[in-house]
Amino acid sequence: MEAVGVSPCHTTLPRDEEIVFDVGGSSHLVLAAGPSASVDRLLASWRWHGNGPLELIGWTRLPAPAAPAADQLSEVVVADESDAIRLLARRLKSAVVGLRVYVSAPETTVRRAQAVAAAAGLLHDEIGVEIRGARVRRVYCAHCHAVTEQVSTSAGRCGGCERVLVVHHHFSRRHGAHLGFQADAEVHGEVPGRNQGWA
Amino acid sequence: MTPSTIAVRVARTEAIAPGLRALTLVHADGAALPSFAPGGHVVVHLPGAPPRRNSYSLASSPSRTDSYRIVVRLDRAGRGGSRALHEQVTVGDRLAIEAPQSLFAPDRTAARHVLVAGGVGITPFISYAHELMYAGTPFELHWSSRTRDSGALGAELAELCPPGSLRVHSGGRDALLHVLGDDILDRQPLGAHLSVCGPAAMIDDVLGMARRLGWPESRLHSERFALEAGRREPFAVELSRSGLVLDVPVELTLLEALEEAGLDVPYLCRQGICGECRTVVLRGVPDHRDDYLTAGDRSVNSAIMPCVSRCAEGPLVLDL
Repeated sequence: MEAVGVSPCHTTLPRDEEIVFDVGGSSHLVLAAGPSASVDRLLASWRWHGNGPLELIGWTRLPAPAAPAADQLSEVVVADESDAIRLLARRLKSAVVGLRVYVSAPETTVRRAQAVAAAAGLLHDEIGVEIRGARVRRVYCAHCHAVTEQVSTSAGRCGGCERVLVVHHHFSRRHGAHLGFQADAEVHGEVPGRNQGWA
Repeated sequence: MTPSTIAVRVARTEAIAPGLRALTLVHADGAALPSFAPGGHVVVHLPGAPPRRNSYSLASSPSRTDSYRIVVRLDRAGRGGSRALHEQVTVGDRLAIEAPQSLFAPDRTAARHVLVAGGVGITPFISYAHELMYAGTPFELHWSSRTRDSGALGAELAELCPPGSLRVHSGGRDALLHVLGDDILDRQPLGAHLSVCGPAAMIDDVLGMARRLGWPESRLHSERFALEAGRREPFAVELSRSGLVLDVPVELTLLEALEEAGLDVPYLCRQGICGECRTVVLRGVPDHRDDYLTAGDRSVNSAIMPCVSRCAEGPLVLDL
């Protein structure tokens, strides 16, 4: 999805980005769901510029890059993305300003990671994300507050309260989810077309 | 357009240190003064001719509507504004001030604030201290000041701030940077923000150190204290639309010279921060002294902030 229309400064709607190494950071934390070309490029940049330690959290084993010094790189392999998110939250609790976080993963994981990061106080220029795989949305139900994962249509049923929700173009960084509001809230029974996917 | 002003009366004056005078201002008609965001300042219209307007940080609690306090540093090399406020203005005198605004308000999402002040740059942090104490937001305040200057304000701040959160550094630039670099800026928890107020060189030093330690721009904030000497030379400026050619003498800013000539140039802060007085340059190279224009803007020399900037290479022709 390319950036069209609204400037990123004026919207919370997330854009696809490629993760880019920030040489201004003094320590770096990478979450990666397996190897990817951009993770390789990021690690190569870090190796070249070498500013501060880097920790790599993966849930598929990644080939360890040659590090400028052995104690600069640490690697942790976790069982799955939920463990990765939990470990991220733990790391952020004890982190200091200067940390940069990079997440390369499917959309659901990326959004959960962004929500955890926002809760820990990380700002927009301290985290970079890359979404891999199909675009799906996490939808926050305005009525029961449940988050329904993997929604790929413009309206879908809430996993918490079963309401049919219209997925709005409104994204909460705190929840890491789009807003879902009952499709027939105005007139019961009048529901817009459900099965429109998006590119 | 000239902003409307509030008539105030000087209720109290206090010599708080050599060359530092505090003025307490109340509304001349006894009405409430507007409250303001921390870091706020007022533009004071100084008595006398030529008309001068200087900007001063409000060194009082933002929620106090019965009075404001400003702290004026005597600038003997300046154009007489601070001298008037030191030597001519007394209790009972009336002044006109513009409604306060803050271009340096603390980030409300910050979990913690690191505040660094140089000299009289402490003044906006007085309003910060009141607000942050009220909100319960943790902060630490570092003040680089010669001991003889920090007495009365230092005592007041020590009472206001939580124990241990105020540190006065009297060892000059190197001592301050050493402490900040080794003990402070390398260990702030996520969510901390850094705000610096003082002379431009000090701000550059502190922010430069923070950047080297990995601080991103979104956590860095500063307000430059506008009492810089900066070499002043007279220069001529031509107004392309009217054909007028004006001389800008050493003791006037370009903005003041335009105002004296009867032009109504929009302005707000008069410190080169807000962008309101931005004027198009048609010819000539400005001497940019502001904090508003981007590096890109400056390199093409197509605009100037007349409240603080002057002329590097004339003739300077403005689209006015």
